[in-house]
Amino acid sequence: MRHVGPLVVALLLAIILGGCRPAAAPPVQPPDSGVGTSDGATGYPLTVTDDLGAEITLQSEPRRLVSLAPSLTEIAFALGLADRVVGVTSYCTYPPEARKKPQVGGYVNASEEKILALSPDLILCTRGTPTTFISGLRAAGLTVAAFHETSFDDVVRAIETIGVLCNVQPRARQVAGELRQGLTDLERQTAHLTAEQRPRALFAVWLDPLFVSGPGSFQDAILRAAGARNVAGTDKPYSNLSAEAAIAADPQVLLLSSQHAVVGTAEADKTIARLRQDPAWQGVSAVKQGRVVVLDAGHVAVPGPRLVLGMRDIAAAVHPDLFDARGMQ
Amino acid sequence: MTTTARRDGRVFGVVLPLILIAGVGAGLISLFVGAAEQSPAQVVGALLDGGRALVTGHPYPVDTLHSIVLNLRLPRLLLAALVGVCLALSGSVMQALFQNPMADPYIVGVSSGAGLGAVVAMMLVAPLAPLGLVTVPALAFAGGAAVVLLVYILSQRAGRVHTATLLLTGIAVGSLVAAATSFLLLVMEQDLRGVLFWLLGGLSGRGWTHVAMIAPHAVVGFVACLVAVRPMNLLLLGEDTAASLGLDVGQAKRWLLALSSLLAAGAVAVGGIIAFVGLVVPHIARLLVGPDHRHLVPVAAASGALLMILADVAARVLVAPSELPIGIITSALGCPFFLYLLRRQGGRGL
Repeated sequence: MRHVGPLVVALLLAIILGGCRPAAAPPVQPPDSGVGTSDGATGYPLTVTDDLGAEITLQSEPRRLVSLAPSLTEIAFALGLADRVVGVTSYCTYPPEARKKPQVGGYVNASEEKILALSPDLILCTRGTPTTFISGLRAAGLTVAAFHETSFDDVVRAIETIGVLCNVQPRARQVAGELRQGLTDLERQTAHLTAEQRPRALFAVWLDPLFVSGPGSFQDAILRAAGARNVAGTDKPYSNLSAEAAIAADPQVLLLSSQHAVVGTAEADKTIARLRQDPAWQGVSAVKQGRVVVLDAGHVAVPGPRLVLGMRDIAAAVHPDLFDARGMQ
Repeated sequence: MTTTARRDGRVFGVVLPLILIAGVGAGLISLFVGAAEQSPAQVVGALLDGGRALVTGHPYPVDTLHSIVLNLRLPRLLLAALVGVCLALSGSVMQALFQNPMADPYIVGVSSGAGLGAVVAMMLVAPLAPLGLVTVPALAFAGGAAVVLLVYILSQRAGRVHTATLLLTGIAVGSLVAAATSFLLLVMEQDLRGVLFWLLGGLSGRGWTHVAMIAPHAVVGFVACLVAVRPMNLLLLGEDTAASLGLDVGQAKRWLLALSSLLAAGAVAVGGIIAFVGLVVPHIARLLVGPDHRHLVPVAAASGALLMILADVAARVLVAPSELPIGIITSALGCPFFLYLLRRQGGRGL
């Protein structure tokens, strides 16, 4: 600890800031109140307040984008901005074309110099990017828009805001609309369920240490819409949970984000098997009834357009009787 | 000297039973409290069912109550106690070996070696590290032991090892190994979380497998410490005096280093790197019962166990249903008590 201490603490802070953001978000200016226009064209110069509360001004339509988060890269590609993306992080592996873009580093070791050299006119980042790094970029004269992507609404709003910023509002409305519609559809299809018919569920972002999605996270919104009761029992969107609390909550369905394991592979099966063999977890209903499900992290853990797939995956895991799992990878 | 020794002996006869009683009390508390609300009667019932299962082989019911009491709280209580014993004894031996009050279990690089071992383990095994995984502790132990061995070999000059050389070599090699760990951490960035939380230290997610891993270290280490009481007492007088009193100083240092590393590596392997316990518990014990290792070893072991049990209870309960890293608690609990003793007794025996 003494030797690796400073690095560990720095990395951990980066992860904690990136992984579990505070519940209270600064007020976000709705993208269509004054900045967007009815015919879907954005007028420049454009001034908006980003999710960190900073006022940013775009003089003209941005043509060179750098994305500092995988979710924002996915959004940019989904909005048809692939040609404008000039830089991504080493984590940005989806869609596959994103891998071909120049990389500027990761969360904790992105290169300011590399970003400057790409001369972007708009940098997209999440609150996982250290604020000192953001202020450094701004001090260098670059325009940085920070997005808060904790709740389901945050994700939808991020898509719409990027649509406004980059003058692709019709496409953004379509992508955001699909997400909203997906959630509404789930709610409609589970509306008839009684409280007893809604299984106790737990969504583990990481298993070791156990981090779960609580109220205010987009996974929580999807779980509830899909007809489950989230038993995380915390008041934070993402929280470390003791094994004791998780086991005492006795989830009937345990959902695990695959992180980097590919769903359906031996690796994912092995995880489930080991959880089943852990004596501490053997009394849990989900383990007893074989309802531990590993879900593709790309669908359920990246706050972007692929949540459409995530909703389908989670619904099928929670209510296999109601929802079709066909088409799952 | 003799009156002091006699007084220390009397104090020892009072202090040790008190600490042991407190330890049992703390152990009971740790079985009855937690994030899950179980009535005392339920806990007792689960414990009885567990005991019956052990004696008769008739399995206890598989439900959340029994899981929590028998497979979470009970192994964690034992782990906390065993880690505390290992750290406190390792620190006591290191302080005797180096004749330096600043020595702690990690002083010759066990921690940096274990850190590297853990990171390598996390790179080798599935990123979805399942609960109860043993690869990390196993490689952490191997890494810690390998670094201590390397430091020892590098410190040798014509078959002799100077304490100062050992210390400096430990610092140098430790830095190098820590640099390698930092590099690997950056390269493997995506899978950091497990390693980071492990490095921060704690007992969350550990179970019976880990108890089985550390128990031999604690038992063998404790017995070996009792056997090594005389050489440690002689070393307190300085190496030259110890040699003139018939101690093979070179051999004694070798054995003490091996003993201390065995203890430290065991603790690091199951609990990560837990601050404060190994450094300060020996001092607390010394302030209570004096420097004689016949008294110091049992009191340090018992105090280490007590402090860790209390710290683990606090780590589990304070921010429930989440958990705190235990290192925060050990420092917060141990530091004020240590400062109090230090001020009251004027630093006797340091």
